[in-house]
Amino acid sequence: MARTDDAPAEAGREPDGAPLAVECRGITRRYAGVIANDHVDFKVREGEIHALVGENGAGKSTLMKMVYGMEQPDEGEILVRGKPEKIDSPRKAIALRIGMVHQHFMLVDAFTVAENVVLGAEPANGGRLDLDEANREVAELARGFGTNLDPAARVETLAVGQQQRVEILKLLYRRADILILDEPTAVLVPQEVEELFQAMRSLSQQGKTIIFIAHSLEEVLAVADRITVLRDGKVIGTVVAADTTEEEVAEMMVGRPVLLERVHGQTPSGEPMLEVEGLRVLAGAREQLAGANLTVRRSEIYGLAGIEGNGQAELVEALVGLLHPDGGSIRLGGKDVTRATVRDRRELGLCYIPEDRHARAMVLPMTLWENSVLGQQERRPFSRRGLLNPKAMRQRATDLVRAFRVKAPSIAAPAYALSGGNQQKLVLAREFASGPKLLIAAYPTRGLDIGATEFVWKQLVSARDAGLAVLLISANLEEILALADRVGVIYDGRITAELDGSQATMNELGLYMTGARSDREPAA
Amino acid sequence: MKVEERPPAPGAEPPTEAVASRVGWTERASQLGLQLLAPAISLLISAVVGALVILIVQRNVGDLADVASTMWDYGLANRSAFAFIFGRATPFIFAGIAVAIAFKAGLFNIGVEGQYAIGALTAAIVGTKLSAPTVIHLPLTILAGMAGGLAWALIPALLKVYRGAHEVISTIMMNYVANGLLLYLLSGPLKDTTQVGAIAQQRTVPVEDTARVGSMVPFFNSIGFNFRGSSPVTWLFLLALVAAAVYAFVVRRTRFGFELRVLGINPRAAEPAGIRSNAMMMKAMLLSGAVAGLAGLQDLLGFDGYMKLDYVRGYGFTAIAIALLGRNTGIGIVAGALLFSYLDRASSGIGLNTGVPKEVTIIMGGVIILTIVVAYELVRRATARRQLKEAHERA
Repeated sequence: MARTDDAPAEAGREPDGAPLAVECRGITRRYAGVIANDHVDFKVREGEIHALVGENGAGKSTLMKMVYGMEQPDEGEILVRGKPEKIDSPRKAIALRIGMVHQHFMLVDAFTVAENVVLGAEPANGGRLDLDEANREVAELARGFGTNLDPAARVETLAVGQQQRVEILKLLYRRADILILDEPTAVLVPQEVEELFQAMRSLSQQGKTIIFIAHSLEEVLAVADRITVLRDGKVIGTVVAADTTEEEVAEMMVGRPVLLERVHGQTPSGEPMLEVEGLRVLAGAREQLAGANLTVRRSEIYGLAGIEGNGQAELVEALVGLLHPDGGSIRLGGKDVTRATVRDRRELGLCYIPEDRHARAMVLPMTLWENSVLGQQERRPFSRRGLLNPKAMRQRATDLVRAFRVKAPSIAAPAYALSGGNQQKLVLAREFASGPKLLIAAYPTRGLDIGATEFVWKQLVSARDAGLAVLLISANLEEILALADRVGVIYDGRITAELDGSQATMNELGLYMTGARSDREPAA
Repeated sequence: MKVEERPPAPGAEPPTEAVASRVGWTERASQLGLQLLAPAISLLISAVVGALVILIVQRNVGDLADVASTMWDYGLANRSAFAFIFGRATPFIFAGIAVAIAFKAGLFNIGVEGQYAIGALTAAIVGTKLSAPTVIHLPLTILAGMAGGLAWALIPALLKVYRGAHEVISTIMMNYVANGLLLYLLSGPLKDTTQVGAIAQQRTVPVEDTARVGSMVPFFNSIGFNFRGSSPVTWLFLLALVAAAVYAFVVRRTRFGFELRVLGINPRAAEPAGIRSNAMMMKAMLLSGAVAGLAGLQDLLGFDGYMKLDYVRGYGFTAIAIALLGRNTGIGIVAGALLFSYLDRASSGIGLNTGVPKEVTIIMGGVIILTIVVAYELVRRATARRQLKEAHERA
């Protein structure tokens, strides 16, 4: 791809004289013949927030792992503050004041914030851990970037966003001034994302350099100074965030224009497939679901919007059959399934894309062909009189992988060998192949890149057009507004509003979601 | 709606290349090599540690040579050595399978010890009190053994499913209860009252001949071995091998085994897949107990012929090591059982023929258990790293 010529006049500086924190020159990383990074040139200026975007598997994480010393490049060199460095371990990276926050936190739950932060570099007083000193330092660091974390709070009591803050504090405590954040927003709810961005901006103002890997272009444009796009291991280009648009970056990522816009249903919605009446779920004394009413019809996408923790999780579990409701009824295709087993509901045509696909939809150490029939293992031809039919299972896996373009080394590979987006594709493919009538999709695009998101959206729409009833639970209002024929808002365990999908606006939904507005209980 | 009929995915990308549906042979061979690497490393380390211990304790290189030659001559080269190894491996295999079934469901059955004690007890009752022709009596006695083991696993299983009591605690407790029950019955209601005098044993009367399991020595000798007639290998050994094969088949090729593995590896994915974890845990635990019940039959029906006070011999605990060593696979368990049985055999040889304490084999067994975990983990990481790399390159 065309790139402006590098003027190697002075190491460690841009042609315009801006100092560089990190510079990668011609970095190539191969895995057994396949190129993860192909002569990547990548420059990060000091004090900037630099976003690294690209589809799943574009090579972002590989590149960052090399900067953090977890992997070594086969070719090329990495310059840190203008000096070529051989970063052969994270220890070396930390010595160079480079720190990385991984997507999965590495915290000790039972320890306090301060204990976690100082772990491995504890202030000691004649061999004794000086916890007072640790608390003091950590509190000071936390104030430094505008967060009021209690150093004495135990990590397990903190929200995810706060735990992430602890990870960042760990880096600051080790005096890192080049911070790498690997998909920091993937685990956060919208409010936490905003808080993270404020923290990032304040760190940047203090002169820290931040490189972050991201999926959501909206977020990238909101916080980054510059954006570098990777595709298939190559740098497509670096753009200034203020001068670009979401569409432009999306096209750079995918290599073609991407259309994420409202898709209208082609068929009018039919008879009710899922009818929920007065559903109640108690957790101790608290009503997690306080009489939810909801109807989803054939050929309809019903989008359920709401801030997480308002009863969505309980609703989904009750619908799928993972928990028994304390009151109310659920009807599936006219049949009462309130107390039916998961298997019975699946036989009636329920399929389920769980929020947490690693944990609930796959068995990661098992092979793809085994995962391809999970939930359908009792059906023919996958098993007959209790005996499995591996041939049929392999055939199914091959079909699913082809039909949904799952990038997989082999169907005999364990599921953990797939990237997140490809795992989600396989789950989607499997559930669609079960001959469903009702699809419950909980946050189906969470953590997916834009290409995979587009793919999932199209699948949901074509499922709707094929006559399925789709219940889409999402925290992403854009997704809801783009896909849903009807939108329900769940607040405090109740469906407080039902709106026409083509007329609802984000502002309106926001008011219902925060409880600022509420309709009467809508009729089912 | 069928997947095959779905419209092509968005965009005009070229179709993905055909996906290999099977792992190639070279790949398989290298994986098998890795699998065997771990036990090999572990055995080597245990031999070295055993040698060091002998050198330190005995301060005599000659003893080391004695032990080594005994482990070969008496342990393997002796004409009846394999009969003893097969005989002792029989309960080890059953107990190892019992542990492995529970492992597969994510459960830790520490109670195999108590379960085979009770199984042997019920088998002894049926074997002594009933009189019937062999074709009826022997199968009934064996089934009674399974029923006893199953019954003893039932209580921990119920406690686990309905009250959430951890099976490790409850099965250990049941071991003590089983032991107490055995003491009471063998010195009271089931005591053989003909046993009098200075060497009187606290034991049951002998089981009827119709309930005894025949010796396998004639069979082995007919295929070229030269075992002594009194060697303790019975047809239960064949049953154990069959059980291991059936176990392997069930785990890999049946729906029950599939669901068991899903539950054991990721219980949170089991429920959404329509697997009822409570029912599966119940089944796994009861099956584990029933197979454990078989572990007690070799000594009762093939060797002693009666139950005595020192009946409980630690097979259940060795079995945990065997299942671990064999990675819960059928063939692995058989191999592990043969290995530990060989160590037992070598141990008695060392006690008889050398001046070295025979407990050195216990140390070697312990070292194997300790190192095998580490060795498997290292191998696992190596393979996982390789697979992840492959995933990276493709993604």
